[in-house]
Amino acid sequence: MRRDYLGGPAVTRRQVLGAGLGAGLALYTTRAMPLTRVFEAAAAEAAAAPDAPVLVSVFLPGGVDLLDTLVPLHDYGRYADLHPKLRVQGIALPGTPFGLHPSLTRGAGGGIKGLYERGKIGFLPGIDYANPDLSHFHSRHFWETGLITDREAPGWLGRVLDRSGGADNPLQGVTMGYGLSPVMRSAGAPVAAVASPGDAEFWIRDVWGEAEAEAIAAYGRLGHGKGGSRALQASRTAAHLAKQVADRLEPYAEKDGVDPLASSIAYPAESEFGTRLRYLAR
Amino acid sequence: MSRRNKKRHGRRAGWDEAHVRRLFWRAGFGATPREARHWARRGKAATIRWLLSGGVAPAPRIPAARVDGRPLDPVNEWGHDVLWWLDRMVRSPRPLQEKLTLFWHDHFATTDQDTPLMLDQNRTLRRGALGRFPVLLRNVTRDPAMALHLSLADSDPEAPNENFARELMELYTLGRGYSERDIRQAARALTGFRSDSQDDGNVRIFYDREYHDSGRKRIFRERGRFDWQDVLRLCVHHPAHPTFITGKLWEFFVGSPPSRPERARLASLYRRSGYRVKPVVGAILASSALYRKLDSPGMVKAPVVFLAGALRSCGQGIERDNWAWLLNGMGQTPFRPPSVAGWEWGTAWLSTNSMRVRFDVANNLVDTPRLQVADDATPEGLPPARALARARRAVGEPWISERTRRELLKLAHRLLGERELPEGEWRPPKQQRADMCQRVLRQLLLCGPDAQVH
Repeated sequence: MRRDYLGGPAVTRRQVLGAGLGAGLALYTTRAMPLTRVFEAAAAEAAAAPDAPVLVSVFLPGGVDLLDTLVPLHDYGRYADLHPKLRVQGIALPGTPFGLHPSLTRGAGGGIKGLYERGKIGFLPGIDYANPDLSHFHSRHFWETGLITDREAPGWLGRVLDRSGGADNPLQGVTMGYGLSPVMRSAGAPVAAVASPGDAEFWIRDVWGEAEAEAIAAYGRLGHGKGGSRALQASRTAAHLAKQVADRLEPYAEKDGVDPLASSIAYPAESEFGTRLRYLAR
Repeated sequence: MSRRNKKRHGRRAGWDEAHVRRLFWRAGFGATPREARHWARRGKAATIRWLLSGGVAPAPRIPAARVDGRPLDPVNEWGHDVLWWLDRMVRSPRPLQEKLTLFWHDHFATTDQDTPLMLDQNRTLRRGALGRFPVLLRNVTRDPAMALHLSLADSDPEAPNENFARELMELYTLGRGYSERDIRQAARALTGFRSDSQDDGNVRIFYDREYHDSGRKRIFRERGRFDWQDVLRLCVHHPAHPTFITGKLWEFFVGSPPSRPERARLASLYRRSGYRVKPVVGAILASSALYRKLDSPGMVKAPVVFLAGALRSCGQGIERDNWAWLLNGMGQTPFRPPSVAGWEWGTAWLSTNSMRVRFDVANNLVDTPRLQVADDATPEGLPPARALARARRAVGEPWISERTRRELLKLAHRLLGERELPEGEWRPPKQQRADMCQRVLRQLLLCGPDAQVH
């Protein structure tokens, strides 16, 4: 999940609404889709498999020392030699030769260790590539695409969707944030980014009734039309989809103080990450 | 010779208002109708000369920024640093210099630093924008915001920090053609800078020879007791540098990579001129590639370009701080690029989210004093074509496609025309409809798909 386009001090949802910013759902498609059936397709797919699991991928870009996270207790001597100052006493993970960093054993229910013991979490240790490139960008690009290349490439989740996903449902892969996560960039399968559903509705200052409705409809129609440069086509597609998104998210907009997306579970209130997880849960 | 004869001889045939608009959007932040007429008459060479070097010109007269009735306070008020720069983009008498300042800010992307330091860096970039690149590079290296951002200051000679050395080669000068070893050796040579936090909150960067690793180093197969100035010199003289930097400049203005012959020509020009930016930019702005398909603009307007251009074309100064939020929402907050690699340009600016924010920008624009339609201000009974012309004049005569023109005329027709009202339906009176029609026309001219490209 990228925070790339946020900048500035952390912006809460209330501030965004207060500033009258439009957000909502961003759709990324590389080809013409049966646009009017976009959300119908998503709903149909959900209805067909109501208990299908949802994969939530949390990508935490940044440095983590693998050896300190999953301490190789079976080879502790060598580990200690390599990390003379920073070595950690790993807390043994039953049934494995590894120990966990102590901070991962803290928290509700025994933290990460507790989740592991209850069979809710697994580890895939030792995923890496030879001859590490120390460029932050190259390295991150490799992790996002799962390929050792410096060319533009779809993300590894994007490729999963290209191979096994549908052609018509942009909600099959959703980034919680303002921009599309590169992990999910796909070659063809449509995907989406959600910042804050309910903020997508169009409105025009000092204009109401028929004039406003006609103008917004005209905006959507300006998104039709073929030909022109790639930039112009992308612009038209974005306008047309923005209108579609607004139409479909309209039932979820907070109206008269009622938030249809209010959840029964308390998420960390002021945390951007918490807010995103809450919307995702809905 | 009469004007007609001149056109027949073809001397002015390849230069008209459409060319001027294209050039001004790429090299700056758009042209007002008056500017377009003026520079179309003066010809291509004179126009490019003015952009490169300044001089007398009919630039729009726009008032200085004032928010809540007060001048800006970029250091203390949140968002005012962004507004300060936006104000420069809108009102600068040297639009190309301002556009290049934006280019260099993206190129030497520095983020997460205190505002006074970022404002100082901005001034450094502006001063060096059209000058000799080695001078700009030297000044950026010593710039406190940069020195802190990439840990150049206080890099320990016992364990030199590689951040600056890496980005110097990867992002600022070469792109490729160097090894990890070159980076490590360059990091050694770059040691010696230290920072000193002062009582007033400012940071001073100074050089301390005691802190410099003066041993022998090997960089790009050259050996010597290199220091920071040597490293910069070696990077600039590296064979990969001219094509790298001129290619990047080309792409910024033209929107696509240069062809092989163009690439070679620009690199050669850059080298021969003593690594000067001005002649290279001059050549790019004169190239026919910049003027392809005037009726189908091929580049997406970056958020600051879109906003500053709209304000400039309408003759509207900065009078609200909403612009800072809105730039944020569109994905480009000046002084806060997402990473050292800067922003992702092109169609990446256009998601449905950012399009929705661009719509809101237009909402705000139509609310400003220059564009506001007061109640009863619109002449009743204007036919659709005249209503559209009135709206276009107000927003600075932007380019629109034939399709947009037809769609807007249809909209005006529907809103202004009389029709049979079904039982129980009420319609606002004619005057009110005329006012609202004018507002929505201005809105759509400013935020429709056509307005996002240049």
